[in-house]
Amino acid sequence: MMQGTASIKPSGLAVYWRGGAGITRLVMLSLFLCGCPPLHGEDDTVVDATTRQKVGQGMQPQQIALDQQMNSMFFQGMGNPKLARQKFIDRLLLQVSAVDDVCGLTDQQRLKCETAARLDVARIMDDVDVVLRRYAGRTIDLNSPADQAEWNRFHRDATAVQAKQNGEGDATSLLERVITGVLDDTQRSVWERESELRRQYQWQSVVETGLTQLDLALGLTAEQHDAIMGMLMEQPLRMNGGMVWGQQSHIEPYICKYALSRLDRSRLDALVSKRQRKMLGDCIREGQATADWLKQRKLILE
Amino acid sequence: MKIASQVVRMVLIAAIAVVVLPGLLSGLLSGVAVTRAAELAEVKPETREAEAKPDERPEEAERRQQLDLQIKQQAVQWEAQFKKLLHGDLELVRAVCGDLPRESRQAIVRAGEQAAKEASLRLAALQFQDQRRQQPVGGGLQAMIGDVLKKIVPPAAAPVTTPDAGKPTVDPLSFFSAALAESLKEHVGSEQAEKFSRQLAARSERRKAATAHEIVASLDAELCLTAAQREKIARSLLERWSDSMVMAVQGIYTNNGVRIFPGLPDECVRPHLTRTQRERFQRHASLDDPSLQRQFVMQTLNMLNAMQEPELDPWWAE
Repeated sequence: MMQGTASIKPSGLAVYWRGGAGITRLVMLSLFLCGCPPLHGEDDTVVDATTRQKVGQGMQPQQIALDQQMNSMFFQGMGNPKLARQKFIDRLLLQVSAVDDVCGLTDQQRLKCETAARLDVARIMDDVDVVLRRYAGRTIDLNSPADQAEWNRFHRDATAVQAKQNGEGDATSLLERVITGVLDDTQRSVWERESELRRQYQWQSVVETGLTQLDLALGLTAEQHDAIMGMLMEQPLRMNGGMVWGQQSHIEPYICKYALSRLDRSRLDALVSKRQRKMLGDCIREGQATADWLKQRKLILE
Repeated sequence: MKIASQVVRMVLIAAIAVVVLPGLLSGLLSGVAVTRAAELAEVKPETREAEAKPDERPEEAERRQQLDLQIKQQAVQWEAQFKKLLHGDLELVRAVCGDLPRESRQAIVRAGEQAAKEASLRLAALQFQDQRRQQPVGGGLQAMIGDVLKKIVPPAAAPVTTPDAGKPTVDPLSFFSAALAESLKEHVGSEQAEKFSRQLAARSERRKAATAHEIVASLDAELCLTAAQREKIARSLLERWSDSMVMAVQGIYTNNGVRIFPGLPDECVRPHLTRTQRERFQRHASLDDPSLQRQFVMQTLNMLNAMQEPELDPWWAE
C-alpha cells in the first residue's frame, strides 16, 4: 500500500478510504489543494531506467515537479517572486487600512503598523527563499517510498511557510504584535471585537457550506439543519482563513465534518432519524480520518 | 479591454474545466460510468434505429445516433448523483409526511427514480449544448441537440416553475424537485406536497445564503473587509442573486497575481469598498451565459460525489 501521499496517516486512511481508489482520491485531493502539477509532455522529464521498468510492469509513474508546486504555492503559479512580494505587501497594508478604518489610527500608529507589515514580508520571503533553494529542481515519484518521504518533508516545510504568507494565526507575525501594542485601550477593544466578528463569519461560512452537503444527502428538515448548525456554531475551530479560502478546491466540507466529529454524539444522534444517523456516522468517520491532514496543512490551528 | 478579454477567456476555460472535470474525475474514480455507458451502447441498437428520421441522410443519422449516445453516457454519471439526492429527498418526504400509505410508497419511489433519470438526461443534454455553444459548429448541430433532447426526454406535463417566483425554468434540479412534489400531490395530497415543497424552497435559500457567505469570506481573505462591509456585500449578493455567481468560488483565478472573482457583479461589491480595496478589486460584469448559470446545479450535484449512495430503506418497498 502506498503510504503517506498527503501526509495522512495510513491508519486513518484504512478507516474510511479503502483500497487503491481511496489512495488515488487522497493524492488527487492533495494535488488539488496545493496546485495540480501540470501534465508533463514527453520532453519534460528524463525517463530513467527505473521508471521505464515500472512502466513495463504496468505501474504508472506519478511524478511531481517541486518547482511547479512551489510556484503554485508561493507565487500563485506566476513564477514571479517580485509580484508575489508586492501582492503580499499590498495585502498586509490592506489589513493596516482595515485597522485604521475601524479604530482610527494616528499617523504615528499607522507608520508603525506599516513598517511591521514590511518587515513581516521581508522575513517571510526569506523563509520562502530557503524552501525554494532546498527543493529546487527536484522531481518526486510518488511510487517510490523514499520520494514519498521527501514529498512529506517538502509539504511540511512548504506549508509552514505558505501558512505564514497567508497570515492568520501566525504566532511569529510582527504586525499582529504591533497592532496590539500600539492601540490604546478603546481602540484595542474595538479591534478585538472586529477580529472576533471576522472569526465568527468565517466559521459560519465553513459550517453553512459544509452543511449544504449534509442537507442534500441526509434530507435534513429546516429544523434539523438549524439544530445541527447551532451545535457547530457553539464549538468553533480556529482556522487560517487565508489558507482555507486560498485553496483551489472546496475545503470547508472537510473542516465541517471534522468539527462534527468533535460534537457530543448522543446530542447529534437525538436530532436525526435512525437512517440519517448511519450516513451522519460516515461523515463523522471521514472527519476523524482527515483531522491530522487538516492540521498538518495548517488549515485548522490546533 | 485586454484585461476583460483575459478574464472572459479564463472564465470560459474554467467553465469547460468545471463541466468536464467532475465527470472525468468521477469516471476515473469509480470506473462505473464507463462500463454502464458501454452497456448502453451495446443493448439498445433498436432504440437508436427508431430515433433515426426516415428522410435523413446516412451521415446525419449517424451523427444523431452518436449525439444521442454521448448524451446518454454523460447522463449516467449525473444519474448517480440524482439518486443520492433522491435518497435525501425521500428521507425528507418521510419527515414531512409521516407514515405514508403503503400503496403510495412504491409509486413515489418509482416517480423519484424516473425524475432522476429524466433530470440527468436534461442536464447532460444542456451540458452538451453548452459545450458545443462555445465552439463554432455548423450543420444545424444545435437544432439536432434540441431534437435529440426532445426524443430522449419526454416533455413535462406542465411547465416546470421555480418554487419561489413561479418562473418557468429549464433547471434540472428544479425539474427533479417539482416532479417529486407532483408525485406526492398525486399520492398523499396537495397539503403534504406543499409542505415538502416549502422544505425544498428553504433548503434552496440556505444553499444560496451559504454560497453568498462563502463568496464574501473569499473576498474578505483577499480584501480585509470590515464586519459592516461583509454584511452589506452579502445582502447585495442575495438581493441580486444569479446562479452564475457561484463561479466566483469555483476555483481560483488570478490576473497579474491578483485574485479575480468571475461571475461577481461589480455593483454588488465595489460600492461597499474603500478606495484602497477598490484598487485591488477588478471590475466585472455579471455573467448571464446560461452555461455558467448551470454551474450552480452541477456544483450542487458534485457535492454528493464524496457520499456513497445508501440502500433504499425496505420501508419504501413494504
